[in-house]
Amino acid sequence: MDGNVVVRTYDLTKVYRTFWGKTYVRALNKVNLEVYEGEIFALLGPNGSGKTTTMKLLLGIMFPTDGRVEVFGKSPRDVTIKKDVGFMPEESYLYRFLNADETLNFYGNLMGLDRKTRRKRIDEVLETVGLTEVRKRRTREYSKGMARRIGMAQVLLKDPKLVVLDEPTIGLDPMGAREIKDVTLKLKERGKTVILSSHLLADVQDICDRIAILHRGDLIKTDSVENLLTIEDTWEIVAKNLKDETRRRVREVIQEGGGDLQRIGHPRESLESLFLKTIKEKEVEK
Amino acid sequence: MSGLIKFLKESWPQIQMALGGLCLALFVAGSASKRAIAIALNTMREELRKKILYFLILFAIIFIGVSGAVSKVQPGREGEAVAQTGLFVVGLFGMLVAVFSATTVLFSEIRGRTIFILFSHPVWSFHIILGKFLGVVAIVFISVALMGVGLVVYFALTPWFGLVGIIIPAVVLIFFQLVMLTGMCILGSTFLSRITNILLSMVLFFVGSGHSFFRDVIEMMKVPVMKYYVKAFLAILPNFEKFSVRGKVFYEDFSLDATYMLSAIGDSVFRAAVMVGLGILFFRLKEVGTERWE
Repeated sequence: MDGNVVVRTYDLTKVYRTFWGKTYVRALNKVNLEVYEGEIFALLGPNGSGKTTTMKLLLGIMFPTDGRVEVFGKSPRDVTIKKDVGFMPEESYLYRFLNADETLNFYGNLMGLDRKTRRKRIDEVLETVGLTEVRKRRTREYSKGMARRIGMAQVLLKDPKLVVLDEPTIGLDPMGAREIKDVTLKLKERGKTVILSSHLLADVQDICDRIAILHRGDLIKTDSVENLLTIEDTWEIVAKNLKDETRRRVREVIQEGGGDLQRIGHPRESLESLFLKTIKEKEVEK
Repeated sequence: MSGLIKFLKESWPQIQMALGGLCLALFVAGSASKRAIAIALNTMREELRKKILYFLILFAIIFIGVSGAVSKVQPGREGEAVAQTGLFVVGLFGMLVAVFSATTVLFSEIRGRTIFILFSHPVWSFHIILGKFLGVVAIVFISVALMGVGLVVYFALTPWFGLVGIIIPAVVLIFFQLVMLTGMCILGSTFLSRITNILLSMVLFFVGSGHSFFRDVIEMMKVPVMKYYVKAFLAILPNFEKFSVRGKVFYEDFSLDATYMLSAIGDSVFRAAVMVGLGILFFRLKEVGTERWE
């Protein structure tokens, strides 16, 4: 894979210990990863596989037990890199006493944005995530989906080079999930690097370039989605307006050539696509 | 050597003032950071929207209820009795505000996991701890100022108006006593659980408020090693008693002169700075992402 390496881990290991120093779980075991500039990289794995631990380590929230992490060639504990890193955690952890405006204003202050830029950018990102109408409502009154959008808004406000999204679509309805996926794709279009974790496989397949599969702290596989999902010994022909006679001849040709025909039929739309289309049509009718 | 010790003893108030001035300058320099101020303002807003007003309302009810009754207990010295009770209530409720706010601000940031997003921004541990400290100090200032203003207004409406000149500096000292207590609680919150921090801070506050009692105890001690340890403990423990002058100013021949005030304030600022500094160091070494610490 060509390109600049944004994140690199070297034998990254994290062991959780009890108060008395006894090991109770090895969350990560000698994980070596490279994430390149401009790609969407997914950490896949069941619960407890080490996805969130990896993210916390590369954000400098936790320290490795062994090995090391480099983000933009520096330690994640180096505060100077933080201006280029945005993070949306698994749950949108918000200050419940603030409203959306105040929340983003606070993060804007931490980024060192001046008042005018802050106001302009807050208006823009609230518009992007569709929360302009409820910007003055306290975040404790927000639904899970709205809270996720605020989480995304604080990432967008920062406009970082590297975006880390922990389970970005979890708890969202299909439309909310689609919006988050679209925003993620737009980030890629703008040259940002995105690392996301998920156990919703369809989401990952939809938007990611490369995948790392983790299981109980071990890195099992890393490759592009294309390479991982392509079934090498099977071919797919997609055609429109085939007559019965043509289908019969195709079948014959395949059999004559020694091929084993698995299926000829109509392709199916994904449930997500059908759902979004139906809702959109209904909204147009109204 | 003995000459040096003598000099230090004699110049101790001036040394405290100088150290306090130096640390105040450090606080001011640290506060110039926009990030620390942003965290301080956020902390203040959080606390103001939570519970501080309830404390103040409670204070007002208790004060109004108690002051009248106390004035009848000491005929001829009604004003002093009411002023002493008022200052006691300001100190007590100020202490509760300081302890409960200072032990909560960092804990709630970690338990609510908002610290994760905070750490994804360009902030140092220094910004977080200093911001939290300044935010709580602002809350303590607001609550002590409101209670102090309440007391002054109460006395302005009574024949004991002359006592206001004593009440105001006494309230200032209470504020600086609470600044020191806030620093202690913030330090505790970097390595203790919230409950342990609350209990320990309160115990140390009450022990520190009995400095002269413990000095008398040391004199009576027979075992030299024990004497040494208790002396060392008292040297480290902030002398909260120095800031609580309500008994002395009203019933003893004690005047609150500028030297006393400034050396006490200097001591408070210096100790608070040391405790906040240690808090920054401890917090830097802590791993906030693990469940165990929470």
